[in-house]
Amino acid sequence: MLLARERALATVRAELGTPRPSRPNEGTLQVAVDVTPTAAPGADRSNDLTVGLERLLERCLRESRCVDQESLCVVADEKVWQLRLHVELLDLGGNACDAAALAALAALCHFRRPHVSVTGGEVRLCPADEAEPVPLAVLHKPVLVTFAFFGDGQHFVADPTEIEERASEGLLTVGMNSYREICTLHLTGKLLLSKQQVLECTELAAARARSLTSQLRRALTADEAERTALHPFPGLARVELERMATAAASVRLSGAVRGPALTAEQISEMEKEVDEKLSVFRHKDMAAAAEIGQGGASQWGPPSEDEEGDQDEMWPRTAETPAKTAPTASDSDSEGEQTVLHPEDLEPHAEPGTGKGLRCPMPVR
Amino acid sequence: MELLSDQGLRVDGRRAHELRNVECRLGVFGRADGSAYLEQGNTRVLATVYGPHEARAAQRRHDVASINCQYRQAVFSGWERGRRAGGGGDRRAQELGALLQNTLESVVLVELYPRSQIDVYVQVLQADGGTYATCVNAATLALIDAGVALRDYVCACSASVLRDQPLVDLNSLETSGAPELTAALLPRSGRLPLLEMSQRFHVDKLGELLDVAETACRDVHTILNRAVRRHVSARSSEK
Repeated sequence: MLLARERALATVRAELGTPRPSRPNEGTLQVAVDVTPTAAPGADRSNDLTVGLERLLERCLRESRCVDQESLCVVADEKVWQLRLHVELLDLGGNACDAAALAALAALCHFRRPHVSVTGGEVRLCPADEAEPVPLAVLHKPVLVTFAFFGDGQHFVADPTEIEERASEGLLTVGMNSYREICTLHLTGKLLLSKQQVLECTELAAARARSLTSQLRRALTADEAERTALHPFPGLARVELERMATAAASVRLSGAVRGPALTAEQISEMEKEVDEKLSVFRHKDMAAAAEIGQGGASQWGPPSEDEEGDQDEMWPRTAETPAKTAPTASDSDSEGEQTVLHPEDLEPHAEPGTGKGLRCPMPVR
Repeated sequence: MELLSDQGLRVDGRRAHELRNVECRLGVFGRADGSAYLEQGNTRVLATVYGPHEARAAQRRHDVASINCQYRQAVFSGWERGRRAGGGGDRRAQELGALLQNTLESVVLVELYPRSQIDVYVQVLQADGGTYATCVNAATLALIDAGVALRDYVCACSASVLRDQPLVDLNSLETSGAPELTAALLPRSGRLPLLEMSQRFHVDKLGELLDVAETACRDVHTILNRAVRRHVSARSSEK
């Protein structure tokens, strides 16, 4: 999920386990957030951010009943699906909440769990080739929108960058879904708000939530169509997420927060462009990209040996690099070093299927 | 079980706009600089304040005081025993501690105590809904008892809307059944330093909910104010 300079990656895993004693016929959803050291210097030691973000995501996704947890029950009192949602913040460009929430939501909507058959007292997990993996029952799609306040609450901006966040007096995070329901409100910092400001922010958040969820829905539909065309791939495929993310980022860059929403043609044009670039890197023969339940081989290959001492290469290049084409090439970092992407950098060096991707430098802060 | 009966009575017999019974005592501990014990219905919270005292080097800021808040929930306080440290209980405690710090930082006149530290410890003895609001109120009372300079009282209350009827001061049964908004108010300026929400409700109800929460917070303010004056006059008449 790429929201301008902010990158987050979300994964959903499911295991069969025993339910909580207070809720015997509901599945569980656990959220864990990690800030990797590559996100910002010294970031992995910051505990407040991860705990705050975890609780915010839990409130936004779990307590607002985004996923129908009763549908995760297999055998009441004995076996339920335990979902673990893991969000990794790869690059802190400001506004980690919004990116993490959108990534988490995309992962939940995209996730497919194996089909289980219960015969008598026996629970059997059906492998993917026997029964089509089942999506989660997502009742509504909440997204978070953050506003940063300045000047004793007089002025505010939506979706703050890192500098705006640091300079602000406080942040108001509003979680809304496309039905204009507020799922969470969260105020941080030494901010004193008036009722009028809160109402104004929620109106703006409603518009933004609507555009983001329609964006997400389009990307999910496109992915679904592709999924049925190819093999059923259980679990998370990062290529699809990146595609959604890039499209979402493009919408953000064109100032869709306060300005008019982009027309459907413009959005689909942008998506086509991104699709063309992505099609170079898509691996049709790739095995399942995530494990569900039984575990399996990790698809995160080791850093390629033929890189010239590029320490930033810690994750598969295939999925990472396409997302950089649209936004970061046009963004300029006010803080100094920025590796500018040139078109020649984006040519693939190796053929698909070998696990080695293309070499593309990460923007350095 | 219905949370709101047809006659407009809630599970504990209150009307929709009524707060629970509030009992508070200031200065319950001798050693702490300030302390307060607050009961709102069956929710019981103890707050202690140590400070302002010299800050540890890591926390020292040259121009303002730093506020350190810790929230703890006793293992016997909830429905299920055993909120042991580590895991879900610890994370929630961290979140609420950070939230309390944010709220208090906006109301304590920190410019008056540079290079010092104010510790606020909140312990929940019994949790029956509206825990966080009670903690904020108890922390305010403890700060007043400690003589720390405050901009205003911070009065917090929880509110909700159920079948188009706004409710205030939810107990734990109502919290699990309805969306809950916890808001704190500075009564003199009418501004909100704290806004927290769980579950979901429609945005059109937000205005009404904020109004109802504000009225409830002002009611809480009346009660706290009376308690503080009573305590101060009792202390001064002792001497």
